[in-house]
Amino acid sequence: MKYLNRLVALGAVLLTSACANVSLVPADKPATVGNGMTVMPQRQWNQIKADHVVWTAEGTGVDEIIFLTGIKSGKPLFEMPGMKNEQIGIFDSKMLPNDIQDLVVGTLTKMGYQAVRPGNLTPCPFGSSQGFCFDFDFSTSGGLQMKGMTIAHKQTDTLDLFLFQAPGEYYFGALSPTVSKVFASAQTK
Amino acid sequence: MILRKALVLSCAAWLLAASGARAAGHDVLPPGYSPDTSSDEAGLWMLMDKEEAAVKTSPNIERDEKLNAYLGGVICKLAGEYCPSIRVYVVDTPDWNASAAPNGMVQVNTGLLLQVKNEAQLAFVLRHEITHYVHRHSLAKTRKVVNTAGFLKVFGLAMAGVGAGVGADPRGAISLGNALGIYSITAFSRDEERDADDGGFKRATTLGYSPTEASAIWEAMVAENKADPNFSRSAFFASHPGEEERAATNEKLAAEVAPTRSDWITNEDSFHAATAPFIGRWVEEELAQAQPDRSIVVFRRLAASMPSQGVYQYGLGEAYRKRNQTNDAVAAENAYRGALACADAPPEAWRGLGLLTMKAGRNADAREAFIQYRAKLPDSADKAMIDFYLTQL
Repeated sequence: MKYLNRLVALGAVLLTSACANVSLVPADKPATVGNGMTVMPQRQWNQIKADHVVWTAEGTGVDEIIFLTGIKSGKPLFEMPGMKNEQIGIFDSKMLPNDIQDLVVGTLTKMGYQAVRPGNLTPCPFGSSQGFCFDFDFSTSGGLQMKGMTIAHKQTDTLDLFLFQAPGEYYFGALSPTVSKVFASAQTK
Repeated sequence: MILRKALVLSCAAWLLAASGARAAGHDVLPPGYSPDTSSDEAGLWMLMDKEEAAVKTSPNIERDEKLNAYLGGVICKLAGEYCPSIRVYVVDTPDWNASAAPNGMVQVNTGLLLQVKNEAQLAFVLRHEITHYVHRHSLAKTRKVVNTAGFLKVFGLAMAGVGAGVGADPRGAISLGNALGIYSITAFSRDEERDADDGGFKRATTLGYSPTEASAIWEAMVAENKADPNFSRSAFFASHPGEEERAATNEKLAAEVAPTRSDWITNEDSFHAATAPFIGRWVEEELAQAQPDRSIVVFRRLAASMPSQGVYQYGLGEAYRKRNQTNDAVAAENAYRGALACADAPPEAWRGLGLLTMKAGRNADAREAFIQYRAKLPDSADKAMIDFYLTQL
């Protein structure tokens, strides 16, 4: 049944995506990504605005930057239809970076990603705040090897987390230097 | 994995419906058998061969030579004269399962290897699956559903997803429509499952595997399902023998057979020699499922049955820490300290203890734990983060 739950969730996400607005993000102007934060895009991106801001260079099935901002304590990173928040995994303001890394891994796994493996958890600046970063890799159910990287910071009671993922072959390597600059340009309110 | 196999089966069912199914001719697969190329069974095998080609190149296959040689040997012993027709693939996924396709492809999930205690427990599961293969249950099931009018409605849903890509996830996940069709054609009947249980038990005990191990995996499944808030027995699966029934049946059979000889084997040492290099990773993969209720049941059982192996107590500590309910911090600390008392204590138990005590405001304990972790695992992937924590304590 858990497979069925995942499929229901994925179907709902896709239906949502089909209705989402797509717009062009110019390279040279600060872009608002939620919770009062801005980043410098560095290059043009296609923006898909649904529950949260998503950018893609080559298409959402290929590469995505997902801006998860203002996540409150007691809420999951993503809501999934048919699943209770507690089943997905919820953010707790008392979480340490290791806990949040575990939360990301668990959430991606619940979304159907396979063999999600995190690494290189390290402190890093998030705008003018202290944040943390980590990498991860996983494979799709179709066998495609994917790589990802995340930057996050915790305010008093909320979490802001940017997540980038792309196929390990070519796309991640081609886009990650630019994405790193996007992440480094974050300005908090 | 089951879903992928089922997807192929749904295509096979379509072929059978289109060409008209023929009678099976054999209930039991003759050793070395290949179906006539004009038969419906050949169509099923062909599709399974294509599926197997995809499995062979999947990044989720564990290719370690020693592990594969060990499992190949176990399966060959269980399969007997069918051994030359069987190929084994170790699938790196924490979903504990095994399957045998109609063409002789056997898949063993690493989640199953984590969960069984010894070779005997594994043997009863594997021989169950091999019996499905030898008794051609997939072919019988496929023919049955093709001849069922109700199936065609479901099948239509499944094919809509396959043919037109409706609802197909761009990364390879399949649609809800597919899932409905798949659930309707893949599971074996109650009688077929009992037949596989019976065949598995007889063959494994003939080879000397201890019959008292046969019910262990079903008992474990019962306990895990009870702990899993997501688990519900669907109307479809309700028509199959439940894990409780299977455990009870195997216990009854074991009681009858056990007194007949005294030299039963479990081959616990050879099983652990083959799997030990991977247990740490499989523990992390179980924890990554983010189902701490279930993981607690899993690791509590494994830690109780193998108390000298610290990795299971570490897993238990992690599961309690991640669940983070009332009293879980105490249970987690006890488990970590139990792990650290073992000769093979995983260094990550120190990290878990550090995180736990840091959140509790026990800075001195956290500092000591993180220092131990850094000393025992100086190149850990999170060393920079741990060093940062140390500056905060």
